[in-house]
Amino acid sequence: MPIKVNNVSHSYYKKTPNEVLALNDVSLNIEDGSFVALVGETGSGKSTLVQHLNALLLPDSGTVEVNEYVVTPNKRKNKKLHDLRKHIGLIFQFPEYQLFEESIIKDVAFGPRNFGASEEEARQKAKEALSLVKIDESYFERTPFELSGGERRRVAIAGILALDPDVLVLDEPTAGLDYQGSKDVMDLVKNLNEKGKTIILVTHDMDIVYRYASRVCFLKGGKIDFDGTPVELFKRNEKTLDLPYLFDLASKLNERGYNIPLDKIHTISDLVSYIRK
Amino acid sequence: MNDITFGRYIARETPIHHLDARNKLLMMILFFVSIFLQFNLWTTNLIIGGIILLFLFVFMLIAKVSLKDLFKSLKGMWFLVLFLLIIYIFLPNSTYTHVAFSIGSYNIYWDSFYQCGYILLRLVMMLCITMILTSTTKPMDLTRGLEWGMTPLKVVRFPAHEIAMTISIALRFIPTILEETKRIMKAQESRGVDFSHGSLKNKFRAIISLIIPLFVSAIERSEELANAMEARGYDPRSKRTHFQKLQFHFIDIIGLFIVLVIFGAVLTLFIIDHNFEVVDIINVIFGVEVGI
Repeated sequence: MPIKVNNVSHSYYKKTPNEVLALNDVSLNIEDGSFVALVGETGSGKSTLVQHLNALLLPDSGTVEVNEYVVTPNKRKNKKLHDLRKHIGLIFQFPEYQLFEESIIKDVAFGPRNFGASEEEARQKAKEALSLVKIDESYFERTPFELSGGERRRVAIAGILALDPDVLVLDEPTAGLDYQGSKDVMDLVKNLNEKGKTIILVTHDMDIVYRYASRVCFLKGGKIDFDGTPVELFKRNEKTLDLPYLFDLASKLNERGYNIPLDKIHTISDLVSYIRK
Repeated sequence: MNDITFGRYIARETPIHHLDARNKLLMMILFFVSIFLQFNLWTTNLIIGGIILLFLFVFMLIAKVSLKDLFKSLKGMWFLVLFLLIIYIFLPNSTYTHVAFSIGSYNIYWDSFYQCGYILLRLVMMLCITMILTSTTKPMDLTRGLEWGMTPLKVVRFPAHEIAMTISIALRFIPTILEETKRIMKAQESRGVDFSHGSLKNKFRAIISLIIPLFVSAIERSEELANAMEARGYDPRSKRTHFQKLQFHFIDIIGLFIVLVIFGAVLTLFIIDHNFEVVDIINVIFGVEVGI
């Protein structure tokens, strides 16, 4: 499901002294199966942009096109938006706050049930989603509130995965998780991308961008300031960005006469194998 | 959900914003008392109510409180008005005398409409007053003012400070909880919940999916807040100093004077009205016949 964002603008607190223009004439195309990272400072419009993708927010001007779905500023013209949300799964920041059912399996099955799946189907989908996020079957009947933070997050993510969306939008999925927790989540995301799902990831963590993303959009003051590969972004904003450790290391090695292709290393072992050559 | 702007504090530079919170609370009480003084004749009631309302509108203009917001919140009250009207029409009492029209042998009195209108007028006035107060006074100042007002009660061991603290915490967290509500609504909408359409059963489920996470996070938040306060050594019984002092300025005296004049006028009319049987005081004072 290719996504086309055409000249979208959006402002908050309209017609009050506190009005903020969160998105200013943003255009963006996202192809199927790509892994796009959205980066930028707090308040640059990343979260606003992703909420337009599944029509939680409507643009003030411009349109968002996803296959046959077109999201326009006019409320009445936007039919079938409910279905759009089945195709574009949006996982919010700290999604563990959306858990509410008495058992984990019921909570995960809540999404499919909302889109008209039968009890049996929904349960099946929930089981699949929970196994994707590696929640053991013995947990299924427990209440989500006794889980640890990382486990709750994975259950919440499963709640969206159970809808089997074509595009997965994640708003800082690793915020507040420990090393193992964030690695688990990112490995899951990478895995889903390899299975053909489009991933749109909002993050502050340049290490994650470097390691996983094939394309990165840098938002600044509600506009797209840069759109390209991570390596291009890091080279362009060398001074202002918090460069990924691996990139920094590799480029310093290059300065000393090595010839490491910066766009091909994603992990320490990649780097090691290039140094060996 | 996005339109909860009613009565929210808006920082502006107007004379009313600069008034002392205690003074504003006192003015509010004076206005409320004037609203609830009831005169003998219905014409007097409506005219005096109208005059007070005019003054309130002027204050709203000075305070730059938008009249639009007022009318927006009035739109939500049509159901209440309808309900009142039905009650007044179907439960006439013996003092009703002015028949508007009859349906068969059943009389419908003008008095029903008047009673309903008068209640509406009072409601609008109360809305205006609270709107002016809350949109020109910082919540913190307001609770400080309340605390000050309750101080004399400390003699009888009334927990003035604790109550003021509770109120200020509650006020502080209203926007936070609204924000949270919006966030959870969006998160659940992403999972296919439809808050505005669907059958009653689905709507019920939708509300449950909103309320439970909201409660869970509110309780967690209050625990965190309590811990944070304790970690900083908060003790409600110890004597506290304040960073900003509430201060009476010259402008407070002017403001209080104006409100006292209005209040005094209404009170005088009220006393006259109740000492001279049934007199049309509008006729007595202005020499115009607006009576029945």
